Amino acid sequence: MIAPLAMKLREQGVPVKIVYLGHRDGSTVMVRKDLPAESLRDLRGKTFAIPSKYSNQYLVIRKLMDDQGVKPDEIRFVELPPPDMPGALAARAIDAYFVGEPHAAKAELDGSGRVLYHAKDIWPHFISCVLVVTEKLIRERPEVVRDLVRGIAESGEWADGHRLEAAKVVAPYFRQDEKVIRYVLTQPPDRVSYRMLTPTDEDLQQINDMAVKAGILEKPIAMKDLIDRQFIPLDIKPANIDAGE
Amino acid sequence: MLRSPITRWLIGIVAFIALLGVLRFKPWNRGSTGGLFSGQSSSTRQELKVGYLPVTCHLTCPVTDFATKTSTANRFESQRLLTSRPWSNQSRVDA
Repeated sequence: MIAPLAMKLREQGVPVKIVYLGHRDGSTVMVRKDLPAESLRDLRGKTFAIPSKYSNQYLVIRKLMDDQGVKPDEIRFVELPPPDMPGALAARAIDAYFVGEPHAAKAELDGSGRVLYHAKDIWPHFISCVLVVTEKLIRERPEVVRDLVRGIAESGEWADGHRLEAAKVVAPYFRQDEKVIRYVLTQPPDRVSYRMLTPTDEDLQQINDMAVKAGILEKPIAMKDLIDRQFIPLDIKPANIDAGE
Repeated sequence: MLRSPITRWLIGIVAFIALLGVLRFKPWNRGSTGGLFSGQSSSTRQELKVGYLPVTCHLTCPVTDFATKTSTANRFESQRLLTSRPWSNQSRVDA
C-alpha cells in the first residue's frame, strides 16, 4: 500500500500497522520527449500526473517544488491510474508524470517520454509502498504475519540478486511484458532495490511531516502507533526459488 | 397460479437477484481463502491473500506467492489490484 494512504487510514482510526517496506527507489519522473524541461521550474503551467494525492510521489514532488521555488498552484496535478500514464503522455494529454515502475519505463522505451528524475536522485532510498496488515491479523495470527514478513524479506533478497529471473517470475502476475520489467530491474541496476526494507521512524516521520504540510494528513501520527517491527527477521537469506529456464 | 404476468415477472426478478447474489458471494469458495485472511485452517498450512499493485514497488508480493506455491510452509497468495484509489478514476488535485 502507498505509505501516506496507510497513514491516512491510521489517522481515520483504521487499525492497521506498517510491518515492512516493499522496496527502495523504483519510481521515475517522466516528461514529454519534446519538452525541453530540465527541472520542475520548467514545468510551470504544465499538467503533471500522479497516482494519487495519497502517494509519496505527490509529496516528494511537492517538496521538490518547494526546494526549487515553484508554488503549489503553478503545476496542475491530476490523478491518473499508472497504466494510463504512458498513453496519456504519448497523446499529450499530460506533460509529465511521477509513478512507480514499470509505467515510467514504458514511455521511455516507446520513445514518447524521457527521464527527468529517478526517485533515487531526488530522495535516496525513496519509499513509496509499505506492507500493511490489520491489527486483528497481528492479534489473532502473529505467526502468519511473521511468516509473511520473512517471505517478503527473503523474496526481496532473492530478487535483488536475481533480477532477470525475478522479471520472468513476476511478468505473468503483472500481466506485463517481461522485457519492460527486465529493463526496469537492470537499467540501471540501482533503479529499484529490495534491500534495507526495515521501516525506520526517521523515514516514515519524514513522509508524515510532508503529508501534514501538504494537507493530506490533519495532524502528525505517532510512529509507535504506525509501525510494528517485531516480525522482521534478524537474518535475511535469499528465498529458495527456481525460476526455471 | 403462474398465469399472471405480474407473478411471472416477480418470480423472474427474485430468481435473477438470487443468481446475482450467488455469483457475488461465491459460496463454493467458503472455507478456503475467503476475505483477507481465511481464519483457522484445519490443516497446519494456512493461507493468506495479500493484495498488490502491478508495479515493481510491490514485486516481492508475487515473488512470495511464487515461492510459497509449492512449499509446505504457509501459503501467501497474491491478489492483483488495479488501483490504489478505487474511489475515483481521474480528478484534479487541489494544491
